[in-house]
This record gives sequence, structure tokens and C-alpha cells, in this order.
Amino acid sequence: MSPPLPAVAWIRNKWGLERNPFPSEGIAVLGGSDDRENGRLFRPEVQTQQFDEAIGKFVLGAIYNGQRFGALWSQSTVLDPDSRGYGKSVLLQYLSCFLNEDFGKAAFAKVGMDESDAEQNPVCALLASFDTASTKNLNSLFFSAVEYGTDFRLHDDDPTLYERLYERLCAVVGTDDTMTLMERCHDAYRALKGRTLGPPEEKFLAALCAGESRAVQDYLDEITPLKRSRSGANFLATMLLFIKAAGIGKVMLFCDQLEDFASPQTPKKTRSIEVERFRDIVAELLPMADMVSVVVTMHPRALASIEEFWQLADLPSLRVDEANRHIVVVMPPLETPDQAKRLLSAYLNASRRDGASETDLLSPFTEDAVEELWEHSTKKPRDLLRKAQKMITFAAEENLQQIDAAAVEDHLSLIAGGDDEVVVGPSSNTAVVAPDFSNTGFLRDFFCLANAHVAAGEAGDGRAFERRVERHLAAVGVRPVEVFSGVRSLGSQSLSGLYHQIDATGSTREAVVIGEWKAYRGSIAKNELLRFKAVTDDYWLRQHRYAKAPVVRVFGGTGFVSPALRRYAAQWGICLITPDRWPAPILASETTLWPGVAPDRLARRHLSWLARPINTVCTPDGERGWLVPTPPSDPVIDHFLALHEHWSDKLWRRFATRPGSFEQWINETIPWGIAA
Amino acid sequence: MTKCRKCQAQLSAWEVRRAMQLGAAPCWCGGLPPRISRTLANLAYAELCNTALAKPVMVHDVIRFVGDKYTGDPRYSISVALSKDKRFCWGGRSLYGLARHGLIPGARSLAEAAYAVLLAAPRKLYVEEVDFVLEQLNYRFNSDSLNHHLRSYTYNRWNFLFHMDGWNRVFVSSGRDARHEYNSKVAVCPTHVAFDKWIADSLAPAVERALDERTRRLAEIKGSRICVPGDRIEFR
Repeated sequence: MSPPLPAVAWIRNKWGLERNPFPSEGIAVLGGSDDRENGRLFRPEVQTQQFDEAIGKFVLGAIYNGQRFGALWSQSTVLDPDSRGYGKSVLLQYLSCFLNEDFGKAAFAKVGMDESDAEQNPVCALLASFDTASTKNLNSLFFSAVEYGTDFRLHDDDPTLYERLYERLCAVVGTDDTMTLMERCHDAYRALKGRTLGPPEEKFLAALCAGESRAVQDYLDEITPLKRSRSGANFLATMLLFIKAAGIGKVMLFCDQLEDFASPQTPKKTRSIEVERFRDIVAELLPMADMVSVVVTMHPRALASIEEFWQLADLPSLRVDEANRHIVVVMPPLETPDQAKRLLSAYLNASRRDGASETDLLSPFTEDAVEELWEHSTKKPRDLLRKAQKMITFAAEENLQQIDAAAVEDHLSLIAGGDDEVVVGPSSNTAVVAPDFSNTGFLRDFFCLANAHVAAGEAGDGRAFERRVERHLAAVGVRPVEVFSGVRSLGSQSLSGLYHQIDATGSTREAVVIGEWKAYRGSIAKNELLRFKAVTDDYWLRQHRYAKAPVVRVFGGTGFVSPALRRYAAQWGICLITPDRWPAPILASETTLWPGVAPDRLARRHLSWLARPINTVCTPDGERGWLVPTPPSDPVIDHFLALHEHWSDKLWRRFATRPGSFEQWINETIPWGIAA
Repeated sequence: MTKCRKCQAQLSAWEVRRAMQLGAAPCWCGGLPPRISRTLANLAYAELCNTALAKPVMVHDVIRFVGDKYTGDPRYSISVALSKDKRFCWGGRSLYGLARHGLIPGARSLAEAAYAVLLAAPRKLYVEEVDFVLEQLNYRFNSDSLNHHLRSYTYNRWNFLFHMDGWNRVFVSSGRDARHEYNSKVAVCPTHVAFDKWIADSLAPAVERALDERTRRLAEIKGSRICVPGDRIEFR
């Protein structure tokens, strides 16, 4: 028996392939030279519906519906929270080249529009991708988009977008004289009626109008990273003037890898500023506001990270829901084995030494082998390609003539190594929790939890109550927090040096909350509150200078409190939560909308006094010590407590008039807290 | 509150007064009226009145608009023309517009604009709320600058005092004297009575609308079954 051939020799000589046809990573490196990894082998036939949908929603929507934003989504599956590998990047790359090839004619025809429509509304596309290395802000992104327009070609003999545009501009103007072309671009700038970033970049415009592709590339290559990150938008604006002068009124700007921009590693402030800048540049500044329509890649975690800023910056919602279906395209997993076969055959045929074979497109795979692979994959294109790559390697090492279902089955454990996943059922829209939660929202939920705990008959079970609270906080995204720098959960830096147990600390939008959860059947012992006050004071006295937000103390859960205890808590601004009384901050909040008459401004002020941040009851006074405000007299506190009682009762009466409505309200407010 | 009969744009008291001085209609949405001197300020005002302009524009855009109509180089004197003439409203660094664009007449800095917003606010505002309201009024600025002003880290030329409570909410003294002192320094309106009326009829509703809008937008962030992440609790 002759010794087995090396895998590479087998792949080349027996199977007739140049090399392993499949990518080892399957992460599209846009602009890379290896066709397996750069997304050039994308075939619209694999996910035809999504490709057509992208043209219809993004391109036609931008032209005919005036849409400025669109989102290409991939959603999480139960075991795949990253939602990557669905082919968003390669679809965008292919679509941009598809549009640029004939300024949208083929795209219009593909979705059933007339050629005359395409001629009236020519369109081109720019593509840029955020990354964590150099393209972290919008200006850098816009500069990358300009570079894409001048450098990128899908196939080596294709002209770049810039070359096509130059040709078109010369045809429109009727000359290739640089000065005339520049003047035409300046005319486009002068005609702008609104806010701009300033005059075009003259040198860049001159390079563009000279018609020398290499000169343009060299000019852009010489731009320093600092200038790219500061003036990228100016370069984009200049490029847009050039495009406009060429008679093209609409430019699709595809922004990939938004998750890199929206990742938690990007500081919240940066995300906020950049989103506002996005709004300014894309929606307000000319010529961008007139010409550009942006399509971003999106998934649940990226959305959660930027949604609040996005919403506040007046930008349209990009969520996957019915109201947004005209601007959202969702990339699903591969739904049928046929799609898998089309995907793999594109890669196989691109690497055949003697050209593509019509008879057996999948060779060396058999059809049932591909079906077996598909069956045991996550159905995501990236996963399928990786598995096929491994399968080719193993089969070649074993010198198999062909790869059939049995061979795939034999190697399942090997090709699944390092996998994370099997799709469970259809993809679902993973819940996105609001990362920031207001203080009143937190107290409302805590009050609901206390009532749910009582209703569940577990009033005396402290451990169960803690679990219920923890589960709820995790579900709504109230993060555990370092209350003071460097110390987690108030660890060891108390003034006394004693280590104290604290149930929970969390960060809400306005404050840091220190909580002590109690689960009593009857009255809560006064010593518990005294201890809590002493403990929190002990930490505050040592660590106050590190506090970055107001610190609020919340005490309670199930059980009842005596009037004396309430008076003591009010004295020190500790927010008491008991199931029988609505928390004072909720009653006091200006954002609580009442069914009928609401507390007036003065009443709200008095109510809010009952739960005050610790910095208002014990204020550092520089080197001199501490300021503790003079305590109000008992009648004053009693008046505030009576107010609390009054408005709490008023709210209870609202629920009492509709039996069952309180339970329903709790169910709707803390669905996960109920089940705990 | 005066409105242009032709384009329905809101006009500031300064626009009306200047028009009366020049003997022309107060809004120049139809272009520079005949017999009006072609000064840089007048040309710029006529351009900014253009109904196609919905938002404030940069100084370099004003130069672009007036470039072929003004005899001379507008670049040298445009900044002075815009900042001195009270018909124009400051909207951010090198950004100018008119009252119709939502800006506060007379205010020439972020502190002055923020102070006016707080004068008209129905309650104490969080820094983020002030930021949002100013953005809605078409101001464009760096959030850090606003934060510094509101926390009084930065000097403002009229020494306006911003106060902050224990919850990091900002407020200013909004009594009659404080309002009138503000107006006498910033000159939002030619008279204090007009200023009080302007706050009540124009700015306060705009601020309230912006705050409601903020709450609504935050409420629209769904995803958890808690409809509103705490900003608004509604008992119907």
C-alpha cells in the first residue's frame, strides 16, 4: 500500500483545486487580496431575497422615499449573542460595486424598474468600515469612504468609482479641461443653500478634476492620520461635489462594523458626541444632507449601546419592528440546503484549476455531504464556510476520493471543535435592555418586587427576596458598580476600617444606589435601619471624594415600619420601601403622571425631601469637617410623612377602584421579577 | 410675538425695530427691499430670511451667500456685522441664524443661551436636559462647554450664576428682578415687558415642548417590557 499523499498534493492533483477553496476565518477583509477572505465571492443568488430587499429598501427608498437611514440587521439567536457571520459586510460590498458598475441601472432592473428610471436617478455608493484601530470616529470613517471611492475595485480589471465618475463628468461637461471641471464643482458648491463645512478641499478637488487616478490615490495616501480624523468630512463633501457635478444626485454610504463604534469600549461620551456629529453631518450639513443616504450594519448589542443617543439626536429608529420595516433588512441564517450548496459551489468553482465544471459544481463534496454539513452548522454562512474548510483539510489528509455524508458524519466532532453554537429554532429578537435606568424607575420596580414577594407568600424568606431582586436588576440592566473608585460593593475602605456587608449597589441614570433588602413578615426591626445608616455613613466619610454621582440609600422590602422608624429614615434621607406605601420619590417625581389631581410643586418638594442623596445630609466642608444640616422639628417631619401617606393613599385608591389592576400593573412592570 | 405675513416666520423685536428704522417691512423673505442700503448686515439679513434656510448657517456660508452681491470682500467684516447686529442670533461657534430658526435674540454665548432656557424652564433641569433643549433650539456646541458653564467652571462675561442641587439638577434665579437683569445685559428684547411676554409666549412653551419630546423619545426606546425606563411613570 502506497503512503498517503500530503493534503495539499491531494487537493491539487486529485480534486483539481488550486488550494483549499474555503476561508479559514470567514471574516470579510474588505480590500484584501485573497478572494476567499475578501468577500468577492459573494453571490446574490445565495440570499436573493435579502439582496433584492436591500436594493428596494435602501436604494429605491433613498431615491423615491427620501430615506436618509437604513439598517442591515443580523439578529441574535438563543446561543449566539454576537450575531456575526451572516454576510452583512459582503452583501454591502457587493451591493456597492453592483451600484457603481453602471450607476444603478442593473439594480433598478433587478427589482423591476425601467431603465429610464435609472437614467433619471443615477446613484453610486461608498463603503467604509469602523474598526478599533484607526477608524474610530466619523471623520476617519468618511475619509475611508473617500478612499474606497478612489481605490477600490471588485475585480482587478474593473475601473474604480472615481474613474467612472471622471468619465461621466467629462461627458456631462463636454471637456476634460481640469479648470473647467473644477469650476463646475465650484458651481455645485455655490448652489448649496444651507450650512456647509466650508469651501471644498482645493488640492483634492484639483487632483480629482485632473483625471489621474494614481495622483488622487497618492494625494490621499499622504494625508496624515490626524488630518483624516479631523477633516474626513471635508474630503467627503469635496468628493460629493465632484459626484454632483457628474450629474449624480444620490450617494449611498454604507457603514460597516458599527459595533466597533458602538462597543462598550468606546466611552459613552464619545458615542454620544459622535452620534450627534452623525446627525449634524449627515442630516444637516450640505451637500451630505442632500445627497447621502446611510446604511449601517446593526445588531441588538450595537443598538443597545447607541440607541438612547440616536433617539435623542433626532435620528430615526433603526429597530427591527413593523414601523421600521421600510428601512430595515434582516439577514437570516441559510434556510435551505440549496442555499448552502450555492454558497459552497461559488468558492469551489473559483478555485478549480481547470475552470468551473458544469456537471458537478460541488465536487469533491457530494450533495448529501453538503446537506449534512448544513444540518450540523449554525446555518450562518461564516460557520458553514469554516466547517467546509476544515472538512476539506481532514478529507485531503485522509486522501478521500470524495466527501460524502458518511465522511462528514465521521468528522463531526473535529469540524465542530471550538464551535459555540447550534441554532435553536428560528432567530428571535433578543430583548435589549435600556442601559440607563432612572432612579424613580428603579424604586418603582423595587416596590413592585416587594409586593410580588408578599403576593407569592414568601414574605419571610430573605434569600428568596434577594434572588428576586438580583434577577430583576440583571434583567433591566442595572449594573453592579464601583460606588467609589477602586472599591467594589463598598469593600474595605470604611472610615473605621471595619468591613460591612452591603446587599447591593447599583448605578442608575442619576445616582448611585446603595440598597439593603429586607424580607420581614411583620415589623422591620429598628436596629436594621440603624445599622444600615451607620454602615453607609462609615463608608461615606472615608470615600465621599470618589463619588461621581449623588449617592442614594434605599432600605426595605417586605414588612412594615413604625412611625418612629419612618421619622428616623426621613431625618437621614434614607428612602424606605415597604409594600403598603408608595415610595416617596415616585410620588414626588415630576415625571410621574397622575390620573387626576397631582401633588403641587411644594408638595413634591416636601415629598422629595424624604429621600435625599447622602451628600445633602452629610456634606464635606473642606478642611473644616462636615456640615450636617439642622434637623427639622418633629412636627415638620410628621407633616411631610403625612403628606406621603396622603398621596400614597390617593394612588392606592386609583387601583382599588379597579380590582386586579394592581396585580396586572406589577405583572407588566416586572415580568421577570414575578417568576423568580 | 410678531410674524411675517408672507412667510409666517417668527420675528424678534430687534428685527421689527430695525425694519421700522429703515422704513421697510420687517421680514425680507422676498429679498433685499428696494431703497435699502446694501450694507453687509442688510445683505446677510436678507439671505438669512430666505425661506429655504431652515436652520442657522456658518459664517463662511453667509459669506458665500452674499459674495456676489456685496461690493467688497465680506470676509473682513462679516464677523463684526453678524455679532453686532441684534437681528442676528448666535447659534454656536461661527454659527448664526435668526429668531425664526429657534435661537434666542441677543444671546452671544452658550452661558447666555443656557441661562435663558433655565429662566423659562418649568422646573430644575438635568444637564442633559439643558443640552437637549438647546440642541432642539438649533444651538450647536460641545457638550463639555455647556457642562463647564452650568457647573460654573467657566467664566461668563455677565457673571450669571447657575445653581446645582444635590441631584445634579441646574436652576437659576428666575424672579422678576433676575429676569430683567438678564434682559438688561443680554438685550433679548428692547423692553423688560416685552422680554417677560416673550418668555411666557415663546421660549417657555418651546422649552416645555422640548422636554416633553425628550421624555417621549426616551419612552420610545423599547426592548424591555418596562415601557419607560423610569423617566415617566404613568397612572391612567
